[in-house]
Amino acid sequence: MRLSKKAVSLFSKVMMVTVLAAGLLAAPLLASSANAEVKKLKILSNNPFSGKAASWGFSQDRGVGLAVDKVNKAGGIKVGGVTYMWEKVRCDNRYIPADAVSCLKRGVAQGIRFMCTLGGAVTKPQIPLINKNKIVTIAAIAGGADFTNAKNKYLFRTMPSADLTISIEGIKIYKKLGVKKLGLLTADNVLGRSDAKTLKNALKVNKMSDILVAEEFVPINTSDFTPALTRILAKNPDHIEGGAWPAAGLALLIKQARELGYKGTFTNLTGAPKVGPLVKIGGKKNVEGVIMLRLWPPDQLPTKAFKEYWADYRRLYKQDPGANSWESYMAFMHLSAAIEKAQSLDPDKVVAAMRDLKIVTLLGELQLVGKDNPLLPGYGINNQYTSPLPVTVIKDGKPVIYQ
Amino acid sequence: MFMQMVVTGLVLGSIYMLVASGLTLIYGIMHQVNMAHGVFFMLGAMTTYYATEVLGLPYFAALLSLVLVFPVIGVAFERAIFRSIRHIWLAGYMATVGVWMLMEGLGWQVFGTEQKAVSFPITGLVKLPGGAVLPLNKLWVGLIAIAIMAGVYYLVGRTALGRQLRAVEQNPRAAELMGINADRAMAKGFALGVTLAALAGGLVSTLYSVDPSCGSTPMLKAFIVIILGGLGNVTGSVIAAFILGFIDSFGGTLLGHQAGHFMGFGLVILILIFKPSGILGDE
Repeated sequence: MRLSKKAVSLFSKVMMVTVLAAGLLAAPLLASSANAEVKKLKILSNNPFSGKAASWGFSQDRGVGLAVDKVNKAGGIKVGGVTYMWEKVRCDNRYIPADAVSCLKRGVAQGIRFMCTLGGAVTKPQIPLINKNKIVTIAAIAGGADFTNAKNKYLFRTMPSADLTISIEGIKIYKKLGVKKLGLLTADNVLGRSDAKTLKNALKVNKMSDILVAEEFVPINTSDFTPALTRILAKNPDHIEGGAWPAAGLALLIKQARELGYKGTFTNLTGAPKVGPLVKIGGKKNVEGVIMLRLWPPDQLPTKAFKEYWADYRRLYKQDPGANSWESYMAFMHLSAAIEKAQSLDPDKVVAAMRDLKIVTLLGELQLVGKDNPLLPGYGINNQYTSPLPVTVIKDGKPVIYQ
Repeated sequence: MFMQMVVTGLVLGSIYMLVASGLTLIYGIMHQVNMAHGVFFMLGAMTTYYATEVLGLPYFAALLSLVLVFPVIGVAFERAIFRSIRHIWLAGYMATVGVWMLMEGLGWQVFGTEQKAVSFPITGLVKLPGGAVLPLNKLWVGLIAIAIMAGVYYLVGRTALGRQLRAVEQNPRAAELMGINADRAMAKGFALGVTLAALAGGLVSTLYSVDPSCGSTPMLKAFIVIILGGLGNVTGSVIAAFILGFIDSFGGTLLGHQAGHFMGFGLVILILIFKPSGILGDE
């Protein structure tokens, strides 16, 4: 049977229209199906990117940034057939509590459910909003049970708490140094006050209260410590604890103390300042012998993965990473793994998954502790990350492990 | 401790004096509150850092380079931003706030976030009677600040440029009728104020750390000083700078930092209530 030319033409026209119509109908379906495959998952980086604490903020932001790249390059997070790719959203809180709260409010308005932040001083006022909006937060904060407790179940501490840094390691160091008169000069904010309270409790428990001869609090943006140092030096301390300072603050504190003739020793149990700027601003001779926690000497990195991380950081940012960077990197990797394990973005399911999850990352196995742990009194919840706590001392302008 | 407080007060006073002198000159001549003053302080500190630590220039050569570079920057800013709007006080004020915010933000991008430091070539300390110690770097910074102020006094009081500036300050229109180009005189006055801010930044950079917001606190202190001393009055500013230096030193040492801070602002409030024109300001 042969079809007429007219019939062929009509048939082909009908077919073309059918294909076109099918295509038009299918296009939105295909598109929506493609959109459903890959979605963005935002994490708010609520950090100081300007001001004296900017070095802390960039350190955490870059650590999380490296982790975001790592997870995304590995194919993202797969939850219920949907692939989520992380996107980091920055907000500069200038280390000002009100600005940090504003950043969080903006994040909440954008529907963000995950956040990294740092500094007890700016995290404390965010806690009501974190709890109310169930923002899963990884935070580099010192303090103790005042932050990590059963009421703050969405807040996970990436760094060792003051109960570990001050109450245990700090006391060990003071005993080893044979400190007879201790002066404390720390930041006048929630973090500094909280650390001072922890220090006094730890000294009391160890029957060493009488060694604390002076305590001073000055704003974190202080450049001239001379009046506060004059008050402290009038009590003739043989050791000064420079508490919650970033590198520049601690460096100026040490430099000015030396200029006033102070010859004793220093520790910095909380701030984990970067050694490069500390030496440059404070002066190599002045900062010799300063003992700090949480810092790894670049030539004594304990694992291959950590060495690779260190090299990646250096390649990208032309400087050594700070403690906040790798601690936050590890916590973020843990968070990502927990979301995949929970197979949900629901904050309650995610935090439940985080608490039982152990992962191997830069410094070995990472897990959360806090509940029923005698070293972490009053926590009552597994929201404290564990990782090795190095003690370093500056020798000839470089950090080395303190023996 | 008393002698140490005196020494600290003198050092702080000389620093406040230098920062405030540029601000008060600009206000006196242009009747403009320059909220961007701290930016020029910061740029002076940054220039000193890059000149010494990156280019390897000797410190005093770097300081001298500020005297060559910043008058040009000052004139450029005055021509580009302030001249056309200086008759509208609020617009001028907001423009300087804008410059401050913009330059500080740009600073974090351009100069980076790492805190910087400038080494002073003279180190060591002098032991004084009463157990006080005076670091040599602070002694030199104080002496240089006093020398610069002496130079400013000479320039304003004894030179043709100074006469022009004073004439414009008193009455710009009358000065123009006397053949003085008021616009040009104001540009020179602005350039002088900016250069003083940069020199203060260059000097203070050796004592503290340098970052893009390092000019904010000195600017705040400078505002306290010029309100205390009397807006636009250089001698009043010098006296007020040392009063504030002693308040910060004695208040901070005897009563703690917050008390020292409170006393500084408390004095400003008292002055504004009982003598709003400041210590040496005109009624």
